[in-house]
Amino acid sequence: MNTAKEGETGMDLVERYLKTLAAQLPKDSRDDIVAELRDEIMGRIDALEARLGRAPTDDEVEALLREVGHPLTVAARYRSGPQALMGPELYPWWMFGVKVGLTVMACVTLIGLAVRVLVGDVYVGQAIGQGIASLFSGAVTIVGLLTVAGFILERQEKKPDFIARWRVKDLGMFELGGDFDAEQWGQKLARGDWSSSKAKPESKPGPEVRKSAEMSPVARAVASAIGWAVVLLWWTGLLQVAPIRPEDLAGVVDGLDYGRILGEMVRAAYWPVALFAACRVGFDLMRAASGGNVRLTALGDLVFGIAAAWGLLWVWFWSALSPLIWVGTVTDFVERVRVLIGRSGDDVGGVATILMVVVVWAFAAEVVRMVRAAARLVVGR
Amino acid sequence: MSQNDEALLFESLRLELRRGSLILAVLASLRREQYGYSLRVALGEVGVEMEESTLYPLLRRLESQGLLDSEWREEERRKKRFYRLSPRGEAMLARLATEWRGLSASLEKML
Repeated sequence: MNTAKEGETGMDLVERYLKTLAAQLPKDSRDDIVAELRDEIMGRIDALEARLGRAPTDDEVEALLREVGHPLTVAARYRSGPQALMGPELYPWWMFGVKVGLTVMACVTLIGLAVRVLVGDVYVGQAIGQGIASLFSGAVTIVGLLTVAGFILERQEKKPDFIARWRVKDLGMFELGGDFDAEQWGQKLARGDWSSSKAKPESKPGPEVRKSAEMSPVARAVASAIGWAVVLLWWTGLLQVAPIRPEDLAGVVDGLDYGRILGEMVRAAYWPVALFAACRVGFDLMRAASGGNVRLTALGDLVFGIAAAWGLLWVWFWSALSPLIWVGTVTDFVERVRVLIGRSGDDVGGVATILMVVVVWAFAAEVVRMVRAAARLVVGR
Repeated sequence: MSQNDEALLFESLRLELRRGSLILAVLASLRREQYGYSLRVALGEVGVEMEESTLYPLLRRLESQGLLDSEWREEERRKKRFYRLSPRGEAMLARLATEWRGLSASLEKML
């Protein structure tokens, strides 16, 4: 080695760099690679010195080493096998898994908490805290497990069959993850549309593909009829899914007997709701029989939207629940929500506030639905 | 798109375009025996710039594939590793060169 030429410190930098690099290299080829890179770096330093007409400074040597690359990067290039956690072939699968996994987990967590709050097991403030905590740890677990799976799959010689040998008829489930978009979900919920098909495509290409990916209007009508039939049977007590009647869903929370309030509401609204559900089933069947006529559907949506909105107004102003949830101004509304979020577990009134938010939200959703239905009724498509 | 974006885009497309030709350039240069640094300089002079962290692992890989031979020798008071195309490498280079010329000719017609 021509150590004398570069001076002690410049050489020290190079040796320190090479030592770090050596530690990252496989044992059997380590010395060989380091010796070769040492020669390369010395060659560059010589060339630099010839250009400058003097020995390069430490800073210049360091800049040169930086050009060669960080020891971790350089060492990785010598390793055989993938240079990435996951390649572009596997990544979309990972992303899809994350979306679906997170969505399902969020739904399960929220439903579980809602049930616990209704049963009176936890307070709303506690529930929100626990919800955030379990959502977070659940999300980390899901992403972590999927990443480990992706890492391992990426390093297999043969990728699993499901990636290469897929079939068109199985593609339906992949519409699910594609909609992970807050705005679209919001619109869908407001429309009362729980199907997973994408919103109308903005661009023209591929209308045929889109059509088959969406549920047909007739299928949607039938699905809606079945759903409402279940609701109707449950409401009238003909269907004993579980020994739960509407009024059994609530208990005593915050010193208020929600069971009694709900019981009163059910008695008052029994026939209107039964009638609404029966009409809905009848209408959906008619819609299915007519082949999903757009104007007919729109008219029905408008009428049922008005009925549902009226029902919500009744809940807000005149039902037994009204004294608990009614607020006069937007400021009061915001204030109650703020108090709910900020409060600790032993305060009271959380359930009422949540119900207040739910009713307002449902009303807004109905209004959006009515406007859209009206638009479709006018435009005819 | 700003001029800067345009330049960046061009640069990334250019790199992608050239990436596939690097192996060919390395094999062709090694018809004459060279060590790493001199090879890098020679490639740089004809406009094929390669980083150390690309070139050296590539040389090692080509050698393990039997396309290159190498030996350690002392030159200018330093031990250097000299690479040279192996007989197998010659044959492979000839095949790849034919492929390259065919591709280049048909692209030339299109462009």
